[in-house]
Amino acid sequence: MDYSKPLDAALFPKGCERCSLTKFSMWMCVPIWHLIFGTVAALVVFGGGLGYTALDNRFGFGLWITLDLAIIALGAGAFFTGLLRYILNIEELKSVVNFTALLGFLCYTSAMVILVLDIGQPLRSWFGYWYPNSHSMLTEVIFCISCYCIVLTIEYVSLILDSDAFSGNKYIQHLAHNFHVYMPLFAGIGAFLSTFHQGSLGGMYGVLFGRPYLFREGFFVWPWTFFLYLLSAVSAGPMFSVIVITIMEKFTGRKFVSWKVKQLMGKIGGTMLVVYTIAKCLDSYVWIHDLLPRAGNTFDEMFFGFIYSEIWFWTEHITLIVAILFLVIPRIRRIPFFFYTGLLLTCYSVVLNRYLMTVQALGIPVLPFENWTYYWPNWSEWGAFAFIFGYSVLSLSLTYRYTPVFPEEPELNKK
Amino acid sequence: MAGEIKEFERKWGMVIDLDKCTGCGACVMSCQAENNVAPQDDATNKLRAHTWLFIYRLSNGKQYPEHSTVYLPRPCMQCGKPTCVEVCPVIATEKGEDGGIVSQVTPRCIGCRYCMASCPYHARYFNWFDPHWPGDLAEALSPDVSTRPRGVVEKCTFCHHRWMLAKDKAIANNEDPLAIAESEYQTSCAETCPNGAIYFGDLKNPDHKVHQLSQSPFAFRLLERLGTEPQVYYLSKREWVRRLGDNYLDDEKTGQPLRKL
Amino acid sequence: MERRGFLKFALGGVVGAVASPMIWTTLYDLAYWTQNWGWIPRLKKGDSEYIATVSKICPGGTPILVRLVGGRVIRTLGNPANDISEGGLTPLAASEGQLLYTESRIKRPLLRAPDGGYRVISWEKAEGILKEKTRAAKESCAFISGDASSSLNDLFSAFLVANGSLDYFFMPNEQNAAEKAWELMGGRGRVGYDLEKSDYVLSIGANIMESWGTVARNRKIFKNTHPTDAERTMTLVFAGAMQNNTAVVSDLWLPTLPGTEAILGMGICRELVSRGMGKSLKGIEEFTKIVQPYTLEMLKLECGILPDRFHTIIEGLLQAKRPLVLAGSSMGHGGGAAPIMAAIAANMLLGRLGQDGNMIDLPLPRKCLALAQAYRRAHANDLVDFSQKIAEGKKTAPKLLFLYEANPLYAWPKNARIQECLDAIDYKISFSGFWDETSAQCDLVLPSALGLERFDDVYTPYGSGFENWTLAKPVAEPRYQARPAGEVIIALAEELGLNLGVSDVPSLLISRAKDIGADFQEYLENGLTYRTSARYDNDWFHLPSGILREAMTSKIETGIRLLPHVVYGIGSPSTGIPPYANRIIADYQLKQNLTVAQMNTETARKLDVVHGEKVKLETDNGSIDVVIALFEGIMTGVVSVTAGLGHTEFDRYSINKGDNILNLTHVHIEAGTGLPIWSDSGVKVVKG
Repeated sequence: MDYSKPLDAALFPKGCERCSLTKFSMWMCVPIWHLIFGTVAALVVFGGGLGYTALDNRFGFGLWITLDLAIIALGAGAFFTGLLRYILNIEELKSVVNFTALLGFLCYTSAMVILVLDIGQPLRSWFGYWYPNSHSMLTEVIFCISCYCIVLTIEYVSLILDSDAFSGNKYIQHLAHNFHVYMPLFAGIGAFLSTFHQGSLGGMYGVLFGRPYLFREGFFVWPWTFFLYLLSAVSAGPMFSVIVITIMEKFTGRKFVSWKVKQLMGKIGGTMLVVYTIAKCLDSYVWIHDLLPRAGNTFDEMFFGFIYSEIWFWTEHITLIVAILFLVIPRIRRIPFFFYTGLLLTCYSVVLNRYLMTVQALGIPVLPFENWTYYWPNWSEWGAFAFIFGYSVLSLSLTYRYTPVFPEEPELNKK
Repeated sequence: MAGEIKEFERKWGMVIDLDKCTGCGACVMSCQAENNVAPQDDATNKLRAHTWLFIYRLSNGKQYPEHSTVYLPRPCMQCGKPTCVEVCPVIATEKGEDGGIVSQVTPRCIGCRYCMASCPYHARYFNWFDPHWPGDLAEALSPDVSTRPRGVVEKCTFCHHRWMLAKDKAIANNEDPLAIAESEYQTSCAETCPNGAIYFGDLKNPDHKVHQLSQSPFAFRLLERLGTEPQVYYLSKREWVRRLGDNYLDDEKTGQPLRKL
Repeated sequence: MERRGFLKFALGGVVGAVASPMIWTTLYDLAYWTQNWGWIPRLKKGDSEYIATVSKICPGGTPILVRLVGGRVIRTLGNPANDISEGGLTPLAASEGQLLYTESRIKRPLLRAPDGGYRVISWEKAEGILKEKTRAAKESCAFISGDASSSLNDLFSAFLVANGSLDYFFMPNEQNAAEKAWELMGGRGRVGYDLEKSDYVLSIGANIMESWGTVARNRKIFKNTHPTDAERTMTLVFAGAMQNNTAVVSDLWLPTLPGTEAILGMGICRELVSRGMGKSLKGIEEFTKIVQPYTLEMLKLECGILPDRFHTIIEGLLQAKRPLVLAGSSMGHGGGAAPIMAAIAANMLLGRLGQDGNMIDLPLPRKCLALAQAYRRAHANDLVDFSQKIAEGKKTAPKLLFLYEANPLYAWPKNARIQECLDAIDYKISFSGFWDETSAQCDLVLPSALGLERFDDVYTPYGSGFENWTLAKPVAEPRYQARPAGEVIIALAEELGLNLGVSDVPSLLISRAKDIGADFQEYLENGLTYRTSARYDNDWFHLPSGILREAMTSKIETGIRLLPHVVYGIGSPSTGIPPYANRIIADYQLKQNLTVAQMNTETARKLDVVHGEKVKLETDNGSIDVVIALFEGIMTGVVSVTAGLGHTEFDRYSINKGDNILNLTHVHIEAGTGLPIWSDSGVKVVKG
């Protein structure tokens, strides 16, 4: 045994250095504390009812649904990168595709956790499969998310099986190999499922014809929000992966993905962002000039005070346009500051979009004699955020430490 | 995109004469007793209080002395094209039965609250906590309506159980259960109102009062232009009240929106 | 076991489990369990029956049907067969079923221990104490009744008289002031309001569609005269400071400041006189002089009326065939006699007094028991005067006080000095259904059977238009150890050797029925309301002069006026807030545990307060914490607060819900009549 290396060095991926086990354990306290807080909050909600949250009859959906939608959009890096890597065969992306799958897995499983927490009767959650309403966008969401979760689990498992801990086991090696052989198939299925549920999440809101803020017309059974959600997810997903990778690089002081690949991801995301932004602006235009007047509303009526003010609407749009400038023009994109700012602005705009469509949408009175209502999450809802944070950080840390999640890591960190 | 307007042979509907409502709350009290709605220790937070039938106080927006007030009781609209039915992932709410009452199957409901987000009338209520009848209050539970656990959504059902009972009674008397008289099936709120402000019956049956009242030039429905086709009508001779029933652009005349959703 | 064997076993197990119905039944059971947790009560089935009776908690005597399932009271409904209400129900009467089961019900006799706590005692012991205390107190006893319309008052009053005391009091009500006004103007009996036949009703201050008089009946009349699909046959006009429940449905609203009802009434009289009305009336010259100061200018200044609406009303009254002017206070009591005298005078000027559709002279209730005090005598007793005198030491406190469904501590303004009066009384016994504020200070608290558990009646409640009588009968056994207070008193009298002339409550009610010509058995069975057409002629009336002139000298508040808003939905002083009622308390009445004070934007601007601001309302009498809510349907300079909040006893539905408006109001004495008034307080708005 080499005492100069950490105690668990044998489990590290080949050619990768990791911090000492003590340091790692201390770091682990951070997510674990979050997990404990989140678990307590979840137990209170499961045990006592959703009354312990700050949700109410007007805000049936609260900030954790915003989180839910946001992480699903940001987790879209998984399917989109997989699609590009395995179906369109963009070879360069192999250095990130494992990680995007991992991030996707975390985002989707977190979303499932929140959904189970959010429904009033978690013991009946299987009703969604057993008594599905084929007309409901939520049914589409439930089916696609859980199926896609299985796909992501397979992808994640194959990553774990790649870890050096199993290098001695022939059976596992074979299994891992087979997984890799079939990965394009999984990527294809994943892309298909993902397209639908990313879209149907947007569709969920777009079909609400009782809510002029949300309602959109569309194509076949899908309202335009279906496509907007999809486009925004494929734009922001790869970018979010790059952001997380970069944060991890800063934390560990190591390099995981080359600047070139990051640029490529940014370029791809940026290109999708152009499509999304055009669609989004068109959508907003039609909404303001056609849908709202048909519902008897004016644009001004959709906003109120500061927290529901027009500022957020414009912020959502302007950040997209700025992000496009930063990411699409090669000269600007190559400057790290503008590059990362572009990524952050995109993610910000998409998260803001999910927030506005969840919280602001419910705060707006539809009946002319109703009032605007406000909502602020309480500790038990923040607990869900803490849980997701703790769970993700814990999983990311462990996976990073013990599996070859970044295949190019040894190469990039050669001294 | 969203579903079609559902039509049935019978169409149970309500006509509420707002010019006669004093906002006393007798209908709300009766509704709770009839439908086993659990009491709440504190109901001042109206966003957490269960009011299947909620009474709004409307204002014409003018200052004293030109100000005018109207009370508006709001049950579930039992929409012809409900926003809630299409969105429910588990078919816990349906509009499939003759009469057009939008059902709420609480043992099926998983409590996702999507229906609540969809409803522009805020007619749906979530059981945030388990119901609790302190002291011996559970003794006053009616045998007609199941109690609901926490975590499910509930709403006004037009006292659907009363219709069932009326049909049973007709069958027992060898009468046609589908041709019951207006008086045989009345909702608890309608029969309670001391001012006779709430009328209930089959909107399609000319013998029923609501049929004729719903066609009054003073009749309107809430948010009609959204296309929900409510089965609840309101009446008011005051134009400002009718105008408050829907969203209008400044250049639109009351009851005549230039465009519809 | 080998590895292979284990795998086989495991595989077989899985296949077996999937093939068996176990999974599916478990899943279905899960669906069932999640609906039926053990802590969620099961519904109890049983045969339904509906019994017609009358609400004893709703002061208007609302007829009800009680639904029982398997003998259990489920709820109350309106009784469509009873033409008093035609099936309508007030929110208070609608809560009567639930009230049987609330936590605030007094379940067993309770005796206060020296440490201030209460001990449960047996009825035998309680009866022993009753006997001992009554015997010891002899004539030094008093009785407060919380039920003005029951024939049981004769029983309690007879019991008191048999003990040698005449100190029989009622809880605050409008009835006393109205009867006084009626008597002062020559009425021989009781004032009745023939709303059914009127085609123009002007209500000055009285919230007739919510809390004044026979509410269910008033509202039925409104229903019938305001058909949805035809022209109205009666015009309803409300004069008051706020768009309350009556104003919102009335055909015209005349804003007038709180406490100025009498001035408005006099102004109307002046206008009528100036138009030549009432020329042939006796005393018209004197009366003309009295009303002379009440010019339109004065009305504008004092009442804040709008002249065009005032003139519309005058025209309306003159053109109507059967107009009726009636008056009351926004509080439902404490308004004094002057507004009512002015209203009576207006009806006289219109030439309608005693005629169809106007005020009529209903027969005075005769006593059911020889010993009982006469109606007018009992109703002339003034608890405020009694209480204040005891508090000031001008009168010896009785040794013993009986309270019957009465909660004076809550229902009277502080400076009526009920607290000091109670403190001065040696021993207090409360017959009460619920644990109210006054019971919580009594030495012996006895569980009184509620209206659905006992024989009782409602005899011509105030506001009626004809003599009427409805029998209340027990639809269920008294819950817990509750007993009908009437029976307890009869038994006590027997023990003490007092002969009240009655053996039990039903025989008392039979004598009432006989007296007014009703067939007891018939009304026991049908649960309907018996009515007579008995009335006195109106020859005895005369226009008021001296006393009215004096009564009109009572001071008028200046500055910000307090407008109490009484709603039946919030319960009564003796019931507290019923379990379901807190859902109908609007957010412009109560916000969390703060009372809401409503005012218009102009008032708020003047006071420099904003919507949602927490402030104090202050009078010389006390202060309450409120939160401001803007409402434009209220006069400038007026702050409206909902009454019925601020209980400190009862149960979770009543405690810690706002403040009691009576902590603000101030009793003063109406000149001339000597009646206590407290409905016209001015307040200061003090910023926190």
